[in-house]
Amino acid sequence: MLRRLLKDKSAVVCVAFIVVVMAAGLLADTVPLNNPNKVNVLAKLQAPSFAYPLGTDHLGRCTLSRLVHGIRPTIFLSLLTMCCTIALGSAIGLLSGYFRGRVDEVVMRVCDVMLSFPSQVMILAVVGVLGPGMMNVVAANILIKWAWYGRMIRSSVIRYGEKGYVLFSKVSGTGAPYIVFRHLLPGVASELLVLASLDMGWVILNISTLSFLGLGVQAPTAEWGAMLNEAKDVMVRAPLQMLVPGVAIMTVVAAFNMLGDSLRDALDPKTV
Amino acid sequence: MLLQASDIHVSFSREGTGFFRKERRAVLNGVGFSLEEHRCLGIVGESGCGKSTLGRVVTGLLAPDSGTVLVDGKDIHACRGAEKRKIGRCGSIVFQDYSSSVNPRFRVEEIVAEPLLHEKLDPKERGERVLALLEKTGLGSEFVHRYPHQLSGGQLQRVCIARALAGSPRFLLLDEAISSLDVSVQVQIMDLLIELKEKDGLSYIFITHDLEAVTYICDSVLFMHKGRFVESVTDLSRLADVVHPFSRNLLRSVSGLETIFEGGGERFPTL
Amino acid sequence: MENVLSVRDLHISVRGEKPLSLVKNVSFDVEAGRCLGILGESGSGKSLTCGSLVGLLGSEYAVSGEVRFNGRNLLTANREELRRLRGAEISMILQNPMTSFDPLRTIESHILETLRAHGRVSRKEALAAGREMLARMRIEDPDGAMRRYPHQMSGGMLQRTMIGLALLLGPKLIVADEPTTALDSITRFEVVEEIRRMREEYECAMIFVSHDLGVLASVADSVLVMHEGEVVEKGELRRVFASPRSEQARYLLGTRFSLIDRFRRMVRNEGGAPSRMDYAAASF
Repeated sequence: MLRRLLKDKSAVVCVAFIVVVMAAGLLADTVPLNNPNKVNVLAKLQAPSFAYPLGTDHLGRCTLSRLVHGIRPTIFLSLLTMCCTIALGSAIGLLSGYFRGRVDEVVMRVCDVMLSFPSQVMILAVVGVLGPGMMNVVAANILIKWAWYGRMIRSSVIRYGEKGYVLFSKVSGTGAPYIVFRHLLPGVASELLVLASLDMGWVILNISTLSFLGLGVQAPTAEWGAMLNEAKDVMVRAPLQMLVPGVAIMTVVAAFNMLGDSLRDALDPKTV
Repeated sequence: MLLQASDIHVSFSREGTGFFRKERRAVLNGVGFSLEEHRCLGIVGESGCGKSTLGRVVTGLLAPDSGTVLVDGKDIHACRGAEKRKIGRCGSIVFQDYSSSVNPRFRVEEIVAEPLLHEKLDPKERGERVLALLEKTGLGSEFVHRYPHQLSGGQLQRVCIARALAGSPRFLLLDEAISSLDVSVQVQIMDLLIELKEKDGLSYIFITHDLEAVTYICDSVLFMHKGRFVESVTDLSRLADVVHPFSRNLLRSVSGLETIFEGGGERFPTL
Repeated sequence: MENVLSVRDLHISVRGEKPLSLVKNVSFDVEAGRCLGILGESGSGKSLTCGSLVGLLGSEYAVSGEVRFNGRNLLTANREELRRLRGAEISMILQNPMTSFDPLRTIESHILETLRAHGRVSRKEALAAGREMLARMRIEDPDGAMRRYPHQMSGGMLQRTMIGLALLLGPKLIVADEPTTALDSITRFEVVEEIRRMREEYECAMIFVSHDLGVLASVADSVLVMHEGEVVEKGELRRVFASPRSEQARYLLGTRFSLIDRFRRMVRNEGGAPSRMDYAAASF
């Protein structure tokens, strides 16, 4: 599978880009950058220079440094959110789809309720109740999004459950764990992976939006959405300050989306 | 009596009905039959008559609304857990659509070895058993590591048959197992099935819409129409004497094409 | 008799780093009013050959050779020309009737679409033509049928409707790709009867692809036998049946006869080995 993925040039570029960005995020502290939180009002809104490669923001902090330090909250928190949402949603979807009957009915009605609320509004509401802060944002995302995955995974499981090989397993007395983990999960996993990478973009945007609205990351932590928020006031005077985090979000989201497409092609066992 | 099905009723809820879902569509209306050892029973009917549903009930996949299925005297739908699995293994199944009958991510070895899981064999023994099964169905050892999409229809169906035989079943349910294959391959697979029946003493329930296949491989046949058995023929040499309109229609359809074929394309009037 | 379609040196291969040749050196003629049967097993290249005639193959295939229809080489025609040809002069009947219709639209709307795509015709005229065609296909209650959706009709009725749609514009050539393979025995017989009747009434030529000799014997005048992408035999159907020259034809006839032999013995109580049994069912 990995070999096939590597043959696709756009996939290689996307993976390389994402890996570089994540590495930069992890190594932010060790690489010689300016202190992202060091305020120097005298040097505010400067154009790019040797000392400040992407200029400074309205408080004189180095934009490049804040960009790199902002990788951690933006991307890693998104990844954490994704993983938890997927784990919860898949577990529920798998059980619901495999066992059917009353369990399925109850779970689906709960999902219906969760899905009937517009997600952005719900997240805002939850954050409003819990209060601002990164962990609350993550919790809100998980709470709202699990139903979506649950439902997708359930229909996938039902579809695969009708396949000849699953029916044969049931006839020949194969145990449920084997059926779920060897037959259903791999089939579902490839769809899951595509959904996840496409959804990653949504989550990144979500977390950035909340930070933009002041509900996520609190100052002075660097985060791309928060940077956008701060830069909107000086949009006309120093447009670079908005462009930098904006372009960063855009490229990372695009990279994940394209990776999702390539993953789907690579995971299809027929395209060999 | 190896298998005895009595008074099976199955209905499905109609799509798109109201909140209370009262309307149900009857698929099987009091169907019953018996299968003796070392015999091949044909069940023939048109699309949608319920024959596949009957196949699922008889192999334990679908619980009927009412009726019993006794395998070796035990009711398979009344058992649970390990007991049910054990009885269920008396029978195995081969489906029509061979490409969706196997996990596309498994190699042939894994596919065929699945029914052997509960025996907990060591890898060497398992490998030997798989090779023996493949050989029985006419496939060489070079197929062991291939993926399903690398096999032709006939080869894949042989893998499915090998897999079905792995659990040493007493009877095999063949649900339109040859309908998706080319005519030339159909004959090969039926020859294989006949050979296996003689060598291993298997019994078959052969579900099909094709009367010619029935005369090729079956010992007796039941005609199914709209969820009921309408006629039974225990001596196939008396096949031409069927009386029910559906059976006669089927006979006429097959004979009609064959008359022309035998004439080498001469346009003879149909029966 | 003049040729409606002439194919010379048709080659089809899959594009890529290592191009894979799927169909090689296929040449044949289809005469006006006659039916050419293309016989072969799955994977012999017969469906690809059909699809290439009217440009239905995807861009991953490279097609070369000459396909002459009405004096034009179809392989060099542009998309607009092909579109005008399809339906009006060359019609196709496909294998699976269920997937050949748009499940979200009624039969009526399919008929309207077909007629309107090829000329200005009023809705009333189009519906009248459609109704007449369905009646000729012996579909009871044509008005009711037109208002139905594809999933509300049986496979046999849908296939007959497809044949009707194919005939609607009076094409010169109908290409039928395994139209009876997905049907059960009774419907297969009805559809074959329909096609035979239609051939007697209409003056169109036909290409009929199948892996089943029994069906071909009922509809084809001449036959082309394909094996692994190449033509291994061609000639009048009766000649190929009586004295097949290629191994493939002998094999296909042999297996078909072994199937029919037992049936005959049961049904007609004919014992013994009739003359056709010299084709031993060789296993490939």
